[in-house]
Amino acid sequence: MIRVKTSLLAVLVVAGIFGGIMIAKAVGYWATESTKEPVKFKTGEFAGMPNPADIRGSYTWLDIERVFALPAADAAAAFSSAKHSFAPADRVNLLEELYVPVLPEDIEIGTGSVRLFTALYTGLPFEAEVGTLLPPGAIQYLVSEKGLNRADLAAFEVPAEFKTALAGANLSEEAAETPEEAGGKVDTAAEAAETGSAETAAEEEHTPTPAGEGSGIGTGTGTGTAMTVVGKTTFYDLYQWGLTKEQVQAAIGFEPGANTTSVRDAATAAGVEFSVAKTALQALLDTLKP
Amino acid sequence: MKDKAAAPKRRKTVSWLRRGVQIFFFVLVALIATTGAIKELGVEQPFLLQGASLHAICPFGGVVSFWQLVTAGRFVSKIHEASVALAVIALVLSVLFGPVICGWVCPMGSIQEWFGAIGRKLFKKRYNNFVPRRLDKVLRYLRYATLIWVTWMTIVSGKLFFQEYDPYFALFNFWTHEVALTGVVILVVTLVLSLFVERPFCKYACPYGAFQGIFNLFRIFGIKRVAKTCIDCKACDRECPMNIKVSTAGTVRDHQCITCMKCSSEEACPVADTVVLAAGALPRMKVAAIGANEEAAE
Repeated sequence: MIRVKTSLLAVLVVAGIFGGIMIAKAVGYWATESTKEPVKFKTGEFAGMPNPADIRGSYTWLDIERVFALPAADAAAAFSSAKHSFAPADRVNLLEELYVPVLPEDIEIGTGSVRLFTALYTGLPFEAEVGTLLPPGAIQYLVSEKGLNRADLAAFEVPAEFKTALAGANLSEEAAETPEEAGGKVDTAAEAAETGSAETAAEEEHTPTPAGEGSGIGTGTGTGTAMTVVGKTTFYDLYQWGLTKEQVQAAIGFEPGANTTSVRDAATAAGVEFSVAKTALQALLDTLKP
Repeated sequence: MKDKAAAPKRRKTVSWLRRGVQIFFFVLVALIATTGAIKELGVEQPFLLQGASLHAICPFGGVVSFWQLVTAGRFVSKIHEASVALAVIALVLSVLFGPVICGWVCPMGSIQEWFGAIGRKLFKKRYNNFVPRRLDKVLRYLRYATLIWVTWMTIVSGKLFFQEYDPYFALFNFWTHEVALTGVVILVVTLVLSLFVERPFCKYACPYGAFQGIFNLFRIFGIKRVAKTCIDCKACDRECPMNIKVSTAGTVRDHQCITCMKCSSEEACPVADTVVLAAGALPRMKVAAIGANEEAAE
């Protein structure tokens, strides 16, 4: 018989847990946060290059710099307004917090704009959603730093009548919290939105930001609360909202994935722009809204 | 005579040993939950857990993520490799010693115990004996229903379904917008009930406790009672937080045992080497085992 006394059990429990963690780390199986690696182009001349279309709202400007070699400080400054300056460590979905309130519904400066900006900066292919615009600073940066023709970028310019409002855009004190300041809230706004338990969500969130980097705030709508298709919306969400599999398939034009698959991932796998699938599904969902 | 009770001082030390481990893990989890605020004070996180969130260090996340990991090759939303690694670590510990995670580590179990200490002072011998035995026996299986429900909903939704109901999550996030009202209500109800019943959430509702409890049926190191030296004083029964009848057991196989060692000869049992945590047959001593029905023989 082998006997274990309480004192030995205490040691075994503590050593077992921390020893196990050390082993997990040693074998490379200890991630406490999602990696921020966009999918890569699989075919064509850009095969192996990161796809700007997969930039998520949870990415910070620094994440984008790491992957796309786009200077974070410059990009953050290019997207800042006269009243609010972004820091390189800010998540890009804060753009929606800043600009959505001052722009009409049919145009947007948000994560899609960052994808577009990154694609234009790197020369990688990307098809922007209709209404996706760039702030004047971003246009100017592309012209001065990359030598792009301003006339070619005219389609992405904010209409003149909104430029004053754009310059005056400012974040509320809470929304302007830096990730570090908000770190105590542990998880991201998007995570909160996933549960439908919070009043906040950052559109296009997909992967949780690391602890200590999420702001936990926002003003958007979450997957669980407003029947709004965002990057992390799964087919399960769509069915929960009242759509049938047939309706979804007819709208997106490809076989829906497993319930737990996000529409974005399924669209990417099917070679369809997420924005196209999103628009079709959102139109369908809007017909269900009271 | 050798078979004398352990000295009171020694018993107190042993008792505090587990309490110390519980406090350690409670503080550790609290630090992780408040990582940002702590960082602002200039205090660094433990190096092994830097960057961790409450979800990343929850082994139950690894358990409910298992299906999606196997079938789709990815984690349930918010769950990362660390959760799976911790689930495996907990699994190994459970195979060896039973649900030691529940008895020694889980902060939710610890806080119920601490509230229970108040109840014990208030109600003396009536504490932890309020629920009629027959009803209690049935209610103990509710946690398996919870386990099945939570696992199924996590599989079909691909999301951390239990978060909205999880009092553990509510405990360490009650000041944030993330916590759901249901979680807070369950937490408060649990803590209030803890004044009457020891570890009510563990006994009746915890899905992870249910999962861990299964390992009691075949764990390698079990709580064993040496019938030959047992004086049938029932001290082990009275001390058991999970109301297990250790005094009629050879090897405790009850699915609710949390290996807290309170029944052992190092704490409650007044006779040395009579209730022990051990593997293998007791030498030259006939022992009987009890299962969930407290009848099965080893």
